[in-house]
Amino acid sequence: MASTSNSTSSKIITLRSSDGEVFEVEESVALESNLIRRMMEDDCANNIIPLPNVTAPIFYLVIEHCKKHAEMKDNKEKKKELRSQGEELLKSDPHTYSNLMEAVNYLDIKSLMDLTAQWLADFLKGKSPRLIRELLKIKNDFTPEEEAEILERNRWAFD
Amino acid sequence: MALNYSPCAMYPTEGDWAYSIRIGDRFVGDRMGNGFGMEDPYGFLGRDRVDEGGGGGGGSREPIANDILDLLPSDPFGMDLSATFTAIAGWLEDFEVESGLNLIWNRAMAFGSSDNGVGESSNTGWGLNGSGSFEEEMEMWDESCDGEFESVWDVEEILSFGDEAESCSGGDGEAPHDALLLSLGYLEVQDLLSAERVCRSFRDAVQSDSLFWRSIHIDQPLNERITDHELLKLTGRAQGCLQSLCLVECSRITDDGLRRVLESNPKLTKLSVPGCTRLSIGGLVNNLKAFNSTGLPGIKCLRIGGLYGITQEHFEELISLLNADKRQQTDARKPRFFHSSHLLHSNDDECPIDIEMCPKCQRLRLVYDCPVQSCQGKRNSAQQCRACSFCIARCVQCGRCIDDTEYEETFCLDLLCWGCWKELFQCQ
Repeated sequence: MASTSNSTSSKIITLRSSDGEVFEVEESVALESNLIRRMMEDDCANNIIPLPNVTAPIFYLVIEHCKKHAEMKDNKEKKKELRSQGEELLKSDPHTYSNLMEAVNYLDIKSLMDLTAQWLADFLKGKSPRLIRELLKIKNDFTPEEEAEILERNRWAFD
Repeated sequence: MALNYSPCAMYPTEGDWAYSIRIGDRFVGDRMGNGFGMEDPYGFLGRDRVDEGGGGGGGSREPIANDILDLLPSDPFGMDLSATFTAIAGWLEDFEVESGLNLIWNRAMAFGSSDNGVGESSNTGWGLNGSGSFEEEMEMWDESCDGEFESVWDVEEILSFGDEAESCSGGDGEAPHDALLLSLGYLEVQDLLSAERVCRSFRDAVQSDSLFWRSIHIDQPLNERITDHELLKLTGRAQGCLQSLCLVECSRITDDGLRRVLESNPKLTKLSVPGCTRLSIGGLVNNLKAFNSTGLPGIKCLRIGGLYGITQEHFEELISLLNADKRQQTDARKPRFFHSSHLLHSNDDECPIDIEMCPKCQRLRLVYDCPVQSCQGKRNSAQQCRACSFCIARCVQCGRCIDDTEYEETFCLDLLCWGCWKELFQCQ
């Protein structure tokens, strides 16, 4: 599923993930990434574009999201579907979700960045610090004193 | 007496009323159901109670035996008075039970801060209403409502600081992925304050990055808690970069508090204070005058819907302070539709000020358009369906005028057009 060419007219861009897998992506999809766009504009993308910070499974996720995002622009159903998929991933595997966000940020895909960050923000909405830690599998590294200090400072908002 | 029974008694503390409403709704609904002979899911309306009520009803008629009323037929219209008395007496007791429930609820709140959790269930305080049957019923209720309490407990757990200490030791988590910090900018104020308490890297990001605080929007539930002092501290986190401040129905914010916030945030350009009832229009005009005369560029966008006592002089002064002429005001204005959360979304267009003169009553208020096609077509200003919410009653859901359509009145005295009511009913 690395190849996404189904139209003869559009140009195909070849990209290589950090673990060496080669992807062929339609130019229109690849240009969603400002990073790739800049590389192409600077003409330093004659052959295969290396993406040293993105692994193959994550890049596959990014491409999938990019395509769905392009489809959902005028389709509410797709929008819902993409959102629920994102939330599902966030719940089941927050680490992969974080990697996805990191890759999206690195590739500088503004629309997808907004989307994934907003999903996460919606997911965290109204949750207690403890619940956030549990759900995102984050370790509480505060000393009791530090915790008490922040607690005291923000007490008005939670009492 | 029963009618005067204040539902507020069910709200244990001011700060916790959001949960109470839930409980309150539920109980009010159930109690009413019992009173009118509907099903009795928790077995509240025990037989003991009905008998007792019936006896009371019978007893009350005896002393009037010598009265002229006694000569009248006892039930001329076949209304089955004794049954009605029973129902009413039962209903009254239900209200008493509610005061009992208030006790339970208080206990539930106490559990929130106790270390032993919900499981600790002593019977102290139950005997307030006397009879053994009541206690039995309460226990029955206690069992059958366990699930309900659990869900309340969840909410409590989510929002409270209670017993966080045990989680201090850590757990099986790890350091957060840096990418997670990217979403902090998308969080609202309350969630940012929660995120600050998650771990060190979240805390450092929230505290050091003033960009998160460039735009501060306070609405429920923080709006009832935030005071002048807290607002000043919160806006201070922006380190002078605050650009947009929106306080929706923050009833504790005073003119003096707002003045101090304005003084320490010279870059503020957008100010929304809809429904902040403690702010006076005079104080606001003075604050704005002082602010716009010193700082650059000054407030350009002001939202004051829901403030009282705005006169024509105030309005004109504000317009001149905002550097807006009236033509610009109408050009930039998008159609505004009435909605129950209208105050939340009153600042999405670029027009300098939200209030205007109502075409019908000539007062300075928020003026709403009508989403109905046939109303939009009316060009004649006298017929135009455009006025404040006092002059034209509108549906809280879709904002249409309901003059000539069927409508329903909700429990909160809001109006719902027939279409929205049906839709809501189907959803439920």
